[in-house]
Amino acid sequence: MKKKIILFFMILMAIAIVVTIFTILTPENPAPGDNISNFSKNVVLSDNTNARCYGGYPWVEEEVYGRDVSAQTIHASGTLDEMGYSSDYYLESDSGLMLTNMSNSSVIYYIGHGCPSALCFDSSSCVIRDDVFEMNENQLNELDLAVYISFGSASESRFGNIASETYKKGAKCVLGFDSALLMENSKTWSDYFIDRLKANLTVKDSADRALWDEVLYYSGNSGNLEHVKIYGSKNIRINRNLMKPPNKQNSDKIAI
Amino acid sequence: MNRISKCMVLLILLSSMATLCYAQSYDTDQNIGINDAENRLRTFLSSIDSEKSYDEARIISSGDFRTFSGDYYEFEMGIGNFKVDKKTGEVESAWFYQDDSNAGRSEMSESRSLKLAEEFARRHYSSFDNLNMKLSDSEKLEGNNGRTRYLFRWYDVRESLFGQDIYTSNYVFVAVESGKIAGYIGIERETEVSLKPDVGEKEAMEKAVYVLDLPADSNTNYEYNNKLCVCYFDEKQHLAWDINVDNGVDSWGYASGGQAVIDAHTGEVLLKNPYL
Repeated sequence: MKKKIILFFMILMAIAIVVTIFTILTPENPAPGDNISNFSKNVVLSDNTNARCYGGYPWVEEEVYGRDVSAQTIHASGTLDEMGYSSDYYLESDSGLMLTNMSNSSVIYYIGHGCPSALCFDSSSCVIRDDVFEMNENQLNELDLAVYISFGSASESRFGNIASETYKKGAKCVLGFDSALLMENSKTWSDYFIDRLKANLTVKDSADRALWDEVLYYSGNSGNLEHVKIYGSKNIRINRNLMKPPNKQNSDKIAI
Repeated sequence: MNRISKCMVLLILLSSMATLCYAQSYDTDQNIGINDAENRLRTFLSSIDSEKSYDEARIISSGDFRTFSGDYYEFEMGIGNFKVDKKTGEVESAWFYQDDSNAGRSEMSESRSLKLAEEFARRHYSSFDNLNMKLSDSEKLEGNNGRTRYLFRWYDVRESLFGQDIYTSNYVFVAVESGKIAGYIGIERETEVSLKPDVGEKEAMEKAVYVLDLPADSNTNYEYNNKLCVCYFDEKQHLAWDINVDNGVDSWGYASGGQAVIDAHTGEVLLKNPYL
């Protein structure tokens, strides 16, 4: 009788051990692209949940020349809202407001005219690398992600590199391009990229997927979007609605 | 109810069930069903010679993806994203998510990466050796975790009666990162349009300059990269002039130029694609 009781408890313990191991090894609802190295790097988002999206073309170019990025800007803003942000979009030029918002936002998105070292709403209203350079150290430490979809936004030029400067001032992750970009490809890439971020892919995987899907869409024509450059935490995920609850050590911050 | 009526009711029920089962496994317009597409994807994954075991990978979600040249079943997996053509069942697009580990990886030269990409293309693009696949581009880029990424692109190029190269809609695009295939696209479509253009290259170039709002000054030294190609717009196949014009930067420092695609039969502008 005693042996039977011991055997019963041993079986019970074995089952408990197997269940425990199984529970630990089985990931809960893994996001696409998850792997061990991604889990090991817990990038922490700031408490700030503001998102600001800018589609930068003067009305003349929109009305007369048909250059219009309004739909992409609105899509980015709406999707960020769905990701747990308080998002606004701006279709009029205002570089001063954008500079202010850069230090008071978690996500900044820009699509439109640009030249190496500057994001230009129009010829008289640009956010230039020097504007960012003049900011205080860590002034952008609430900025989790800056996306600059414009010509040469991550190019080295004699006036500097606005994407890398944004990163140096404290932004966790900054994405830009080291090339001239074709407009229709850029617009498609932007929509895909934002949608992949919403699907909880990392910034790096979202950029890769957006490129691959855009190439397929345009029958092999990449529009130069392969010249993407990402500074900082490429493995950051920004969908706040799909994040795991904060642990005790970082109870005031959100871990992903 | 007599026996014959009962038999008929039973027959109707059975045929309804059979129809429902058929409708579930086959989509409309002679598309394959999603289950068949998944099986084709499994076959594709199990054929990849890799240290990783892909054949047991779990599908996280599935959906649809549309392009001008075809509709796809899209499968999201932990290892990557895959698209299966709804008509042919071919896996036409694959992207493998890249991890950050450099274990077992070392930088590979461009020539060795090209060899690897070509081997992969031959294995998965059945017509690679039957068509006149010409390497049209190779690019060296920044990959993940400091690694180098190479992009290679082949087009099936045919020569027209008047000696002009025609890039068909058959192409292969492969990304290689440190000795691993990162991505693959392989498209094969029947050429349905006449390959004899009615619009000349010069006329198409002039039209491109006009639609891209560039000065029509003949003294301007635009840099052109033109191709006569078979392409898809609005889900229709076209013979078209793909005109790329580079005018450097303008007085404001913006990139000047872009791409215009002109139908080579009708002269219609299929795509106006200036620099951003």
